[in-house]
Amino acid sequence: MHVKRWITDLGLACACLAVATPLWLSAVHVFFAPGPDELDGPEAGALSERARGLRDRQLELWARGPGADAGFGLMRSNNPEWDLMGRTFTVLALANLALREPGARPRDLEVMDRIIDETLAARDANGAEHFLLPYWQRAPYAAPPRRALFVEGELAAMIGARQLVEARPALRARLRDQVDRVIAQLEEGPMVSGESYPDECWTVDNAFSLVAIRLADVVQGEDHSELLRRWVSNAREHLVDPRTGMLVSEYTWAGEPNDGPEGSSIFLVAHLLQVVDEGFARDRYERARRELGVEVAGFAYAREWPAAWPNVDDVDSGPTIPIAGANAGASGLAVLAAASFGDDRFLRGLLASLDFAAFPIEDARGLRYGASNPVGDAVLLYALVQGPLWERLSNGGLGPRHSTRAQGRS
Amino acid sequence: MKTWTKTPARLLALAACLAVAYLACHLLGLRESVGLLSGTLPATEQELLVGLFTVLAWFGAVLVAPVLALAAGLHLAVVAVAGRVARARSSAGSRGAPAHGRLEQERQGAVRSGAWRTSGSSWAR
Repeated sequence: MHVKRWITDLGLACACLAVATPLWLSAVHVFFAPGPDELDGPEAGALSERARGLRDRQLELWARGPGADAGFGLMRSNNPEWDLMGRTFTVLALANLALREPGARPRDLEVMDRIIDETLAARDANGAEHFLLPYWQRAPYAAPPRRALFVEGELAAMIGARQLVEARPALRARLRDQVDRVIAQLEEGPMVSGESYPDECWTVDNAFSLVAIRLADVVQGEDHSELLRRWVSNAREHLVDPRTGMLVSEYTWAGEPNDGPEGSSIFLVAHLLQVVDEGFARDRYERARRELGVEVAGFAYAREWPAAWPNVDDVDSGPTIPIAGANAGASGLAVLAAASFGDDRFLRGLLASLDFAAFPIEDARGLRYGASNPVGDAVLLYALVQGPLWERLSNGGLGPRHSTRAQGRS
Repeated sequence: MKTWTKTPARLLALAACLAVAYLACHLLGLRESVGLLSGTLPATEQELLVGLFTVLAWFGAVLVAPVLALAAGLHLAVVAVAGRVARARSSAGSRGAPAHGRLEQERQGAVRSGAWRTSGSSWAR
């Protein structure tokens, strides 16, 4: 009798759990859904609370100096590349903020200048390897003198963004020098591409360089559109993965793909190419969205690799949650791409996932995410404020008239 | 009935444990230690384990604990409804009880009131 009752009780408990589980899992996203102001583009005006918190945190970080922040030091010890990328995204975010909020422009420009000057000083004193992973030494570069396009391109993009917002005389010569280096590297290679590591050309680094060239063209009144068209043409012909139609993430100097389409870079590539070839960029985004984006129960995230390319995560990827395949690096950059292509539905799910799984920490210093790091927070800030700089580039340096985001709003 | 409330009580207790575990992590400021999710490995193995525990405690509190609490509520509701149905069937059954049962009830009532003298034959007046 007792055994029978026990079995009945256990069966009832299991049945109740089976009913309760989908009930709760389908409803939990409601508690993490983003506010309506989060999905408005720069044309809406005021920053969202999340963007303000992230901005305040970055401003505070650079007011004290990254050397004084334990989190920054830990991040750099994991991957020196993240140091440079954090600076780049912060400068780009501040450029957008300076264009959005003219009243705060002096403050934003001051911080941009501090970051740019410190970065240039670090590169000049220690060489580009200050921002590279140790394996840059393993072999000679295919195209000497060895130059990491990752470093040169992002430096050029930072300076170009600064000059586009408001020209600073001391940076005119620096911008020309940086962009000339980048152009020389691209022109040297058979793929119109430059190496970041020995015989490694990364699509994202080359895309950043194209953006830097676009910025410099507008600032300096020049035209390198033919070079940009050649790069895109080359990419269509040699750098597209036949299985997914997505751009590969990395290839040799001679043009052989080394890796497949990696979420932690390919979403960023799509965003960067918006100001190079908008149609090509949108196609890259839609493919990445289809192959890597996942929406479930009101949440969204991105995978690092498409199903056709099972691969291992590298140091840029961050860990991937098993079974779900959710990857932090890919998901963070998917926020940027979704915001810039006006994919509100995907963006809404991604922001819900951010609040659900990224451990927001808000204090007197601003907002950051416990599951992120300074570069991740900088990427998120940039994602939430991007728009004005791209609009200015698209309009040849003039004020906003044409919004790449508004075109694709969903 | 008490037996049927043991399971919901256990489910609720487990849900409470999960919630308290995360609350403790939050009050101790351990949300700072979950940077491992971005691939930023902490300096020590201890910090890594603390971070992992905090992550698991969070998902336990947000995903598992509410499911357990909901299941406990459903369990109690099912038992309550089943009990009412059983009592309703039982009282409906007693209104249509067979004749010998009714007579026995009347006899016991009469004995209690003294109308029957029970010595010898219980049917004698």
